[in-house]
Amino acid sequence: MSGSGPTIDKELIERLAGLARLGLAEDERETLRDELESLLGHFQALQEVDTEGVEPLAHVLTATGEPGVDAVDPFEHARDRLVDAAAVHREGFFVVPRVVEGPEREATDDDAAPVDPDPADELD
Amino acid sequence: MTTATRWEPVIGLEVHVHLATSSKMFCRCEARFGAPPNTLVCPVCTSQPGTLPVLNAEALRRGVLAGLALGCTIDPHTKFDRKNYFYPDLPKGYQISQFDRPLCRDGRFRYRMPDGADREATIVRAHLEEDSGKIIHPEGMDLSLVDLNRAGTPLLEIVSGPDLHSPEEAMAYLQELRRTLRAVGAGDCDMEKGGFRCDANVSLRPAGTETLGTRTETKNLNSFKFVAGALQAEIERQGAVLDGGGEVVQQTMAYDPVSGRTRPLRGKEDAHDYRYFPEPDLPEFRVDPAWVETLRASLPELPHDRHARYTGELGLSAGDADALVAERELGDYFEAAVAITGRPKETANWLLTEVLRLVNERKIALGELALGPERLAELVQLVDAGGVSVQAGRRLATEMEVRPDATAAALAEELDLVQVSDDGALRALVDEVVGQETDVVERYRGGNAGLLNALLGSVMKASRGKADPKAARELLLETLGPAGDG
Amino acid sequence: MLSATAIAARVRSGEFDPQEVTEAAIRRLEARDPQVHAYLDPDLERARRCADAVAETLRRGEDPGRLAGVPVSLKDNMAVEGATLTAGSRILEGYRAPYTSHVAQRLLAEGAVLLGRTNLDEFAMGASTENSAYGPSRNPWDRDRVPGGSSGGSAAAVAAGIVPVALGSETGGSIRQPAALCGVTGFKPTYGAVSRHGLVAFGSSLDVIGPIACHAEDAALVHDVIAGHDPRDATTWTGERPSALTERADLEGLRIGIPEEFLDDAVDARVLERVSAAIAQLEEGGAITRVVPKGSLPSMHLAIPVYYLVACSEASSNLARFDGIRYGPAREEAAELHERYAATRAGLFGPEVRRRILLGTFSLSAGYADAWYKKALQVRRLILDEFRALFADYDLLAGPTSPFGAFKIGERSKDPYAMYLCDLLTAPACLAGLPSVSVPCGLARKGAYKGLPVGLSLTGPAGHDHKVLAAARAYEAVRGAPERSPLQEDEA
Repeated sequence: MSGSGPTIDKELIERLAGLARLGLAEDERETLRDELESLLGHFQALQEVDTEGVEPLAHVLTATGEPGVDAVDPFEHARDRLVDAAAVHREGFFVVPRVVEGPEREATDDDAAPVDPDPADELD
Repeated sequence: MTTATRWEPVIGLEVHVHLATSSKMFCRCEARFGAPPNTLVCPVCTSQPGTLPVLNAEALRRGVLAGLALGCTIDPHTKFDRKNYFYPDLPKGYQISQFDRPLCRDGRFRYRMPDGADREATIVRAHLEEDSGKIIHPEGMDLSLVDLNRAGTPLLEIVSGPDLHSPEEAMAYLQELRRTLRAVGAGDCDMEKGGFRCDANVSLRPAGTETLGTRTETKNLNSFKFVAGALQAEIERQGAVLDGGGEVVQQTMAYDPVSGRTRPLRGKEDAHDYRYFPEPDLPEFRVDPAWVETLRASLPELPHDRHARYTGELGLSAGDADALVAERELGDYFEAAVAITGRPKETANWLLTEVLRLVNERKIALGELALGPERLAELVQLVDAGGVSVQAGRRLATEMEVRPDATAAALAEELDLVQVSDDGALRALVDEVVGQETDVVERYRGGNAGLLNALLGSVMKASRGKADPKAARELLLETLGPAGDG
Repeated sequence: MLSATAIAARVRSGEFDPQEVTEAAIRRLEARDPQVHAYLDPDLERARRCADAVAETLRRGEDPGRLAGVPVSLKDNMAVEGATLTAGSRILEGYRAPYTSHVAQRLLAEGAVLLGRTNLDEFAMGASTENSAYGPSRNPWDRDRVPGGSSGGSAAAVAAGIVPVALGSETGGSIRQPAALCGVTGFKPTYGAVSRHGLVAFGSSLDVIGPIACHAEDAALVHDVIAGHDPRDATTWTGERPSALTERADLEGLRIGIPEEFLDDAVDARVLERVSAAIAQLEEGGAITRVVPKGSLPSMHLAIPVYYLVACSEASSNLARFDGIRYGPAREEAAELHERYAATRAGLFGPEVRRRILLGTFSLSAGYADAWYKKALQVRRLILDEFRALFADYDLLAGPTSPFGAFKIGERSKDPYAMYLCDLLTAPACLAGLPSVSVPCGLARKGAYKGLPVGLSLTGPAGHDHKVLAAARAYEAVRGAPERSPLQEDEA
């Protein structure tokens, strides 16, 4: 049943483990490489199906969604159940190792952005 | 040929706008700026196991309003996708965004340049997404702090086409965009609170060609000043690279306002692999075209159109029209008042001087003034009919604000501000001044024509501002004759 | 042990004292759980508080509800405010849920007594409970064997006679397969019939919560209680939902198809023998049964790859939130942020979870997503369409739930794919979102699974949950009382 699937090399495993933030030891990477390659070999039959023109089905729901109302309903236990649940917290904040600019920064972040003290000043 | 003339900039802007909702986009926490850290959070926006998003209907509605104002097509079946990456301000490890079915697409947006010229930019798409939390880096500590109050607040990301060709066009586009979004109530666009943030894509091409060069993206420009500075800096940087025979590298930049330069934020673009896929926790949403038409019909006149009407049909100066369309409330006030007075210029003048003076002095919103548009119209009409002088009108405006129950005419009467234009009374005042200020009269007659104004001022003063200045001037001339005639 | 229906009736009538019913269940748990390790947290105090509340309601002369005094156990991936919630993982060790799941709220509103949280494969990823970070559960029929999974703890608790009903969750077979392997009834509702609010996510487009019970009637009762629209889960459906309990249980004239694809070569012969006997019983009860020649479900053989690609893709994203920052233990030795993520996640997720995260990350990643993720979604549509076509001719589809009986602990855990094959016959209905029940249909007579339970699966069209459960009740009537596990026999 096992077909010949794609070859999974060490670099790919490293890339995937990096994307998924899984710190793997050398031998674990090797094991996972073997397993992933073997599984994809079993899954290779998928590649032989003609799916030309078939619309992907991400969800079986046929009904469409109903948005909820815009009404504030505060959670009363933010501090004791959410902040206090963190392994490290400080003055109401969650604490993380110092963030430095990384390759994965995102459009909505602002930690590296300078702040204009008078941002709404329109220039002429 | 200089750098500036050899290369033509091609600019596209991505603007993130906070949509004005009471609660967050996918949970019912309050969407508010400035609360103590992690007080506006719940199991959903802190991504506790087992929690699910529920779309806020108001975010959808305001997103549609914005899309319509930008001339976009609204997708009747919109859906959400997950954008996967790790960062401490993104508690789920993915952002709920829209990938291949944005709520709004293919818009055309007209904006006005400072010289009054009209331009048009395409809007490629505008999609809904949730905002991230905030990260703070305390000085001198080897840690960062995460506040999730902002996490999950609704954003509309508006992506323009590469249609802007100078920093001036980019600024004009942004200002028109901000005015428009505020006018339709999509968001407050409060830049201080991060409610209007911009990323700029910039490339250069040889002037006169239609090719597209390699672009860079400068991120997190949170003020107009920074956008202008960053665009200028990046255009110059790329120009220098190309002039030197080099190639522009596709990368993400940051702008440093202190040095006035842009610098690479990261190099490895291939490190991005967001692994978008349809958000399985949210079904597809049907955006009923009939409902969209209802919203379209409810849109107010857009600032761009209003400006054109004010300078055209109503004959206002570009400056006055600019001021009136800057805030929707101001324009609406003007509309209500001018509908009564029928005198656009005078009404605009009174509104932009006296009414705004009251707003500033009292530090209240326009809508909170007792001197509403109907009462301003009374005042304008009273002045216009010669009932009070302009000078007295100013005082009257202040009094009307304090005495919301009294009409302009009644207050003018009560405060003895009714203009003296009666010939006998005015002549008596003129005679009195001419009799008293013999020295000035002497010098006037000696040829100093400018002193007529000094005498007129004395007449006005003697009348405590009530004299009709035009009539008083005529009487003075009649009494004294032209200067130097004596 | 009495059925949930019987207990509730007697508690409501005043014949039974809910506190005594609860103490009896606690005694059974204390006596039997050491032999099966069905529970991760028995949480007896919570059960006693629930019983007190029911007693108080009765004292006020009010009706505690349809599950008055019935002890019900939850799989440990459903949130109960203040209670532990591990999902079988070290990464949630010590975590206490800050809110209560929809299903737990519904059970409590009907007077149920929540008795403990049951064991599962870590994040419901597995078919044996061997992937639980807290050790496997054992099959009450043979303690050297697995109870199935991932809802193995719930199935073992019911089969051991500790509680009449427990909740499980299913993504690819996790309710029906352990029910089959433990000789009890397990029902997987239509996708969206039951709110997932408070269910730790695995594969969000597949996950659904359902009952595991000794009696089909109890499964119907509990399904009636937990199903229905929940505004907190945008994927619950709002349509009409007839009661599964009061739907007429009658096999007469029911058109039941047995697609030949369900009788795969991989299915154990002795399992097939029991299922064939059960189909004969359905026929005797008045059903019109017919084997549908091969070709009606031509894409079914691809259900395993499609299921694993879809579920793992979603899981790779769903499990990104477990980063040690906001909750759970963190590996603080790493000083750099991304190293800490990597150390925490690699250190606290078990091997199967890491494997599936990696597979899902692969399936969604640039350069591979079209060939794997998108392809899987296309074949998923083919599978759905094939099922829909079959339901034009049949009211229900029948077949074995699992290709084999309860296997030995360790027997399949070395080879991931061998374990994945446990889902061979259950994954298709999951991909299509269909309601499906597994009912016990006797013990294998010979072979590797001799003396172990076999499950018959009945699957219906989407939204026909009430009809599927009614058929299970009708089958139970013609079949007679099922064999009880040795642990239950101890009771007598």
